[in-house]
Amino acid sequence: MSIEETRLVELAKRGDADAFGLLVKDYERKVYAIAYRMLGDGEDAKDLAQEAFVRLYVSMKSFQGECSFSTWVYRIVSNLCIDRLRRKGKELARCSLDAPVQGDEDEFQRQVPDMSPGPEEIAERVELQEAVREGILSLPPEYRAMIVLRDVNGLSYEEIGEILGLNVGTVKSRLWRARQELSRRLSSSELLRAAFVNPAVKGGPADEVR
Amino acid sequence: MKCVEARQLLSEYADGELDPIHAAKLEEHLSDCTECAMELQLLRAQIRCCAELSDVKLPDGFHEELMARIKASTQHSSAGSKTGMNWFSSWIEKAAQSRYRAVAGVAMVLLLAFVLSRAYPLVGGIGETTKSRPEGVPQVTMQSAEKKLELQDSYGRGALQPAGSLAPGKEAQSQSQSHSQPQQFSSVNLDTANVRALSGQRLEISQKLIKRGSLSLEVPEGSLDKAAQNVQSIVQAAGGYIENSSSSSETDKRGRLYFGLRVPEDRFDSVFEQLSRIGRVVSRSVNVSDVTEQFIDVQAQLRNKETQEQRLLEIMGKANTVGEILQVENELNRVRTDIDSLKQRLKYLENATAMSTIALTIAEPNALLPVGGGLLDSVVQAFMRAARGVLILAASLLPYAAAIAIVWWIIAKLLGRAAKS
Repeated sequence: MSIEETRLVELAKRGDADAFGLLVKDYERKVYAIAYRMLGDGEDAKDLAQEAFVRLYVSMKSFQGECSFSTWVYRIVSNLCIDRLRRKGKELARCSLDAPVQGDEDEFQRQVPDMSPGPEEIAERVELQEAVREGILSLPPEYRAMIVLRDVNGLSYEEIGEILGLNVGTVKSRLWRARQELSRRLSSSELLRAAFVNPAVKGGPADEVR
Repeated sequence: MKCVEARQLLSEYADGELDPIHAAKLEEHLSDCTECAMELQLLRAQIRCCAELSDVKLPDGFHEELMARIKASTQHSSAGSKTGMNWFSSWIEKAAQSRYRAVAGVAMVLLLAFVLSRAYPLVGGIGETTKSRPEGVPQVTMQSAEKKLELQDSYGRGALQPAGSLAPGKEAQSQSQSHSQPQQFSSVNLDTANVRALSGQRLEISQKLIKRGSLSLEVPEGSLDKAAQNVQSIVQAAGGYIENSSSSSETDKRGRLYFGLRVPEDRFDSVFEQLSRIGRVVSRSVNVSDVTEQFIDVQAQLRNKETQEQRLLEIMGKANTVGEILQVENELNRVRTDIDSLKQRLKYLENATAMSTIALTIAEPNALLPVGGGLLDSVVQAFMRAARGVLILAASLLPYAAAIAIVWWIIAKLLGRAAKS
């Protein structure tokens, strides 16, 4: 934690909205990214990320520096996400598969123009990304948090342990199971195999995935 | 290791978090088992795929919306806990929204009538209260208007807060000013102490000298290798090292060695002497520049900047507004850049003064120029030189001579043919 951040945190604790605003600027992208990958829907993610920051602001006074500020931020957003997913899971156990597909079209369209390779390759890459995305969203909340924090956002085992209140051993084994589960859902990794082990293979087996 | 065990370790291994002992065992297994190796490849591909998902674009207006939400939430909580009046008005609002609206309205009118009937007989001074409480429904709007005002008030206060919090900042400043009084006092003491320390240092290190020597030697033919060995042992014995070396041999087979040597400053003179004894000295020069002043100057500057940095860090600890933080941060960056360059300068000076440089050339004497020849030698020499000149001239004319010869030959043929016919 840099000295500037420490100072900003101190000011924000005293209720300085501008200081908090700067802290928000530093973290909003990451927080939103975590929420988006956990929930799979832009609107939900926005709402949850903002809620996380509001909570952060309100509980700023109770932050004693027992962990780094970033850990604290990620803890709040991760817990909110897991809570919401659990609640949602109880409410609509069956329909949840449809919801992400809606969001997909959106992202699908946005990402196509960004990629420079030929159209077939683009299709394959997007398909693969889509498959992974959906795969993540089909995982149970605890596994999803593992993949999102570690593989998507690249946090260390220690950080993840602090964020989720687990010891490093548990983080390791849970991450291992989460990855296994994800690769099983990627339909025996057919798509991955096609894309990475033998990049020349054409005609992505998109149907096998769904 | 069995495949089942290996699979469990792959995840950790792919992250580079597996301990070396297990990692070694796993690697051994992976080199035998293609299936597990493939599994690792797939896992890595999967992780890479996930990492590609990390780039998420923040929706437009996210920050603004969020900050508005935060402001609203704080105002709500501060307004809610303010006074009983607010609690009352919020109760009224709630009541107004609820299905007991009619009942509440009737109760309100009755309450109003009661208050008015009590207030009316009293003097006009209380007119204010009567003014603020006309009819039932308008009263609610008035109340909420009042609440809005209050909100604005608290908002205004919120906006004022940074300005208000400037006061402690000033306080801190004046505090530091009052601090600076004794600080100055002590800094005078410090200065004298510094001077003493510096002069002590000057005595101690006497002088910081950058010494550069260059030496050119001649050794008997065929003893270049021995000379090189000598150089190496002399330099090593003095605790120095050969920075670079090269050799060349000229067209006349005259061998030559070049050395760039670094030796500790205090051993410079003795090493130079020892080197001179390896062969016949052709030329020697020593250049000494005194950088003691420079050295002390840079050291003092560095110390100043470091105190400045320390002070800035203290100020950062007392900063009260974002503006102050950013300002101090800028200043801090500048000071740190200065410190870096000063440190580098000091490092260069230290290195240059600690180790002196000697450029050494060792050459064999010219075989064609035996030392101390007689008249015959001189004549032979002059002849050889002249012969060499003629040869070079002939060689340089050769291409032109060839061209001229060809042209001459053609012309002669043509002339001969013309004469025949």
